[in-house]
Amino acid sequence: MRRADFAWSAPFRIRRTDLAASALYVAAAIAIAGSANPFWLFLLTSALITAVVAVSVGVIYDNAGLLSLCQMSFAGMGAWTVGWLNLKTSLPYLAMLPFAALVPFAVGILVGVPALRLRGLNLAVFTLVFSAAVARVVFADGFPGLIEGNRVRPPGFASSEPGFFLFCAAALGFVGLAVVALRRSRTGRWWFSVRRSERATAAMGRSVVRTKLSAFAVSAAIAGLGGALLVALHGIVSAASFQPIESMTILTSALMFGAGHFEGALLAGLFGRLIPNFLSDLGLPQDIAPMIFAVGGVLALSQGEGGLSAALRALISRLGRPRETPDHSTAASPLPACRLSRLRGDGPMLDIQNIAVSYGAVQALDDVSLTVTEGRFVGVIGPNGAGKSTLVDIVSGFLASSQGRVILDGMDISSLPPRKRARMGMRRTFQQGLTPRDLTVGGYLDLAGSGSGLPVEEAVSWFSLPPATTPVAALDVGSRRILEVCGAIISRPKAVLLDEPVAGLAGHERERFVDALAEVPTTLGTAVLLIEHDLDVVASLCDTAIVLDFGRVIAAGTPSEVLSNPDVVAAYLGRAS
Amino acid sequence: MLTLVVAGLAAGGAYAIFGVSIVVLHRMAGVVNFSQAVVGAFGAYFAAVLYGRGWDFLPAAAAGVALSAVISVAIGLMFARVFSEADGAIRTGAMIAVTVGLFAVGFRFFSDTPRSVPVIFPSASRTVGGVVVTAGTVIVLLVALATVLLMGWVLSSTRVGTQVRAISELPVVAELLGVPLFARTALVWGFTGLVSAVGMIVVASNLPGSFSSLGFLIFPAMAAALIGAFRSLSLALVGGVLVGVVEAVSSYRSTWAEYRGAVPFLIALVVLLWTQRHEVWDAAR
Repeated sequence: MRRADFAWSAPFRIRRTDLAASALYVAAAIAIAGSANPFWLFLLTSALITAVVAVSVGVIYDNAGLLSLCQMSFAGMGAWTVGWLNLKTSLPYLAMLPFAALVPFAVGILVGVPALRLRGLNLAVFTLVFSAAVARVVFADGFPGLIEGNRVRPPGFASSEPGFFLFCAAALGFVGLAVVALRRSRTGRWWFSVRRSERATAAMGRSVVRTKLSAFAVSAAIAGLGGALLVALHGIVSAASFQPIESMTILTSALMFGAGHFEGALLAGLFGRLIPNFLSDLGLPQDIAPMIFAVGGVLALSQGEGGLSAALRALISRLGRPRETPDHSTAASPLPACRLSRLRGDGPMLDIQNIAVSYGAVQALDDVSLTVTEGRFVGVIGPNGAGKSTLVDIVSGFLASSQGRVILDGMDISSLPPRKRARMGMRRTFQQGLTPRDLTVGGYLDLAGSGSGLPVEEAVSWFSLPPATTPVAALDVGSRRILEVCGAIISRPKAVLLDEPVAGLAGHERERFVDALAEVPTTLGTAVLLIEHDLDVVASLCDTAIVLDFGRVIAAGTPSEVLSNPDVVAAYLGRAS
Repeated sequence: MLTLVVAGLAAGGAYAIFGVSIVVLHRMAGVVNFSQAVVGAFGAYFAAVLYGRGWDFLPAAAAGVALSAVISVAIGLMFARVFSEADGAIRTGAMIAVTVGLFAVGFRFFSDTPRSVPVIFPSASRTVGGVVVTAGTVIVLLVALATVLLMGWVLSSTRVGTQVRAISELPVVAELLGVPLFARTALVWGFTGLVSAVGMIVVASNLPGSFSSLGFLIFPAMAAALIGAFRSLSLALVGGVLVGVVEAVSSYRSTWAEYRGAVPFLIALVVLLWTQRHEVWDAAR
C-alpha cells in the first residue's frame, strides 16, 4: 500500500499508547521469564498459546462477524501437521511452523467454499458439524508420534522453560501485530465492511464470498500456529484438547473478554488457564471453570458486542481525554482544479427497459422503463410503497426482474451479480445507511474508491465531510448518509442510484450536500438516478422526474410538469371523489 | 443390512426429534438451540440415576423428562428476557455459552463415565421379517412424527402459533398487543425439552454412552435441522432418520465404519451445496 494511504488511517498509526502497551508486554514477559517457577511458567505458557487461538476467534468473529465453531479443530490440524513432520522428516521445529499454518489455511479455504454464502447461523452449525467430523475421523486415530512416543521439541534456544515461555510470548506478539496490520489493510477493512452489511459490500464491487473466505482462512492459520505451539509445550498431544466442546469453550471466553482486541485475547488465554488453577487452590473442583465462562459469556453478550476489552477501552478513552468532537466546521472549500471535467453528454448511460417484479399477488413493479442520460439527474418520486426501492434493488442486481433488461453504457447487465455491476460502474446507496462503524471516514472511502477513484482528501472536501481520520462511529446519522453517497461517487461511477440520500438531513447540512450533489454529473459525467421524498431536492437537481405509484410509471416530465399532473396529486393526496 | 437399517431407525428417530425441536425453536423463538441434545441428556441421566436407586422405570423416566422440560423452560425464559432484542450472532453466541455451561454442569452431577440407561420395555420387541424391532424404536419414531404433526399444526393454524411467532419477530409489539410472553415461551421450550428427553432415553438405552457423548448427539441433530433449512419440520424429520440410517449402514463394512463420525458433516455438506447454489442476501432490503 502506498504510504500516502496511511495519512487518514491515524487511528491505526503507531501511537504512543501502542508503543507503551508493546513495551509493557515485552517487559512483563521478560520479568515473568526471569522470576516465575516452572509450574507458573508452564501455566502461563499454555495461557499464551490459548491466547493465540483466541486471536483467531477475534479475527473471524469480531472482525468479519462470522461465528466459527471449529477453531480448536484448526489448532489440532496445526498440531497434527507438526507431529507428522516431526515423525517423518528431520525438519527443525521452526521450519515446521509455516506448514502448521498453511495446512489449516488450505483446509479453511476448502471448507469455506461450501460455507461461502453461509452467515451467522448456518456457518456456526456447519463448522460445529465439521469439527465433530474432524475430531472423530482424523483426531480419534491418535496424533502422529503418539504411539511411537516421538516427542516434538521446541528449538534449542527455546528449550528451557523460560526460553519457551519467551518464544510463545514472541509468537503471540507477532500474531497480534500481524492482525493489527491486516485490519489496517484493505483486506481487513473489507472484513469490517462485510460484517456491517454483505449487500453494501457487494454494492461496492467486492466479492462477499472472497472476503469471508479470507477471514476464515487467516483465522484458521492463526489457530493452526496455536496448535503447533501447544504440541511443542506438551511434546505429545491427544485428541482430547481439540474436541468440538473445546472450540465452543474458547469461543465463549473470546466473546466474554472481547478477543477482537489484543488484550481481550490475552485475558481470554490467561483466565482460561488460570481460573481452573485458582479454583483448585481454593479447594473447589476445576470443572466449574466452564460454568464461569458460560455465565460470563452470557453476561458479556447481554451488554452487546465487544466483550470486556471493548468496555475497558471505552472506559480508558473516557477517562483519558475529553471526547473529541468531530469537526463539522470545514467550510465549503473551493474544489481543486485537478478534477476530471466532462461535458454533459447526450448518450443514454442507464437504460431500464420493461422491468417487472411481483411478490405473490402484489405487483411491486409493472413494466417500468426509464432512461438516464450521461451527466444528468433523473428523479424518481412516489408515495410510500410505490416500488422505488424495489427499482433500485433490481437495477443494482439484488433482485431479479421477471422480464426486461438493464443496459449500462450499451452493455446488457441484466444477468450480472451486484458486485460485477458495481465493477462495471454502477453504484448505489442504501436507505438504512450501511457504512461500517469500525472504519474511519478515509478508510471507508478508500475501499469505496477501490484504488482507482478520486483521491480521498478531495472527496472529503467536496462533500464537506469531517476529516478523513474521524471514526465512522463518531459521525451522526446524517453525516454517515453523506459519507455513503460520497463512497458511491468516489469510484467515478458511470451511473449511480441514490436511495433517499437527503433523508434525515436538515438546514445548512442539507443545502451544502445538495450543492455538492449538483456537481456530480457535470464533474464526473455520471448518470444519477435519484430516489427522493424531498420534492424540493428533486425539483432543484433533476431535469426529469418520474412518478411511480403501485409499481407503475404514472407520469414523467420536468419536475414542475409532473407535480401539477392531476394523477400525481391524487397518488399523493388521494382523489377527491 | 436390513438389521442395520432398523437399528439406525432408533437413533435416526431421536435425531429427528432433536432436529425437529431445533427447527421449532428456531421458527418460534428465533434461536438455534445448540443445547437441544444436552438438555435431553440431563433427563436421560437423571432417569438412569433414579432407576439405579430402585425407582420403577416409568416414574424415573417421567422425572427425567420433567427435568429436561424445566431446564429448557429456564433457558427459554432467560433468552426471552435478556436477548429478545439482540441480533442473530449475539443470540447464537449466547446459546453456545449456555451449552458450554450445561455440559460443565452435567459433568459435575453425572461425571463423564458411561452409565447404562435402562432399556424400555425390554420384553416388548417383535421380530418382523427376521429383524428385531424394539419398542423403543417404535416409540421414538412415533414421538418424532407426532412432534412434527402437532407442531406443524400449532405453527400454521393456531392462535398460540401465531402469538409465538409474533414474540420471536417483534417481542415488544407482541407484548403491547397483550400476548402472554412468558407463558407462551415456556410452553414452546418446555415441549421441546420434553420430547428431547424422550428421544434421549430411547437412544441411551440402545447405545449406552457418557454424558458428553449423549450431548454431542447435537451434531447429527444439527445436520437434520440443516436438511430442514431450519424451516421445514417434515424435512428435518426425514433428515434425522436419514442421518441415523446412513450412520448405521456405514458400519456395514469396517472400512466405512471409520468414517461414521463424518456422516452428519457429509450430509450437511451436500445439503448446503444444493440449497446455497443461488446467491442469497443478508437482509431483505
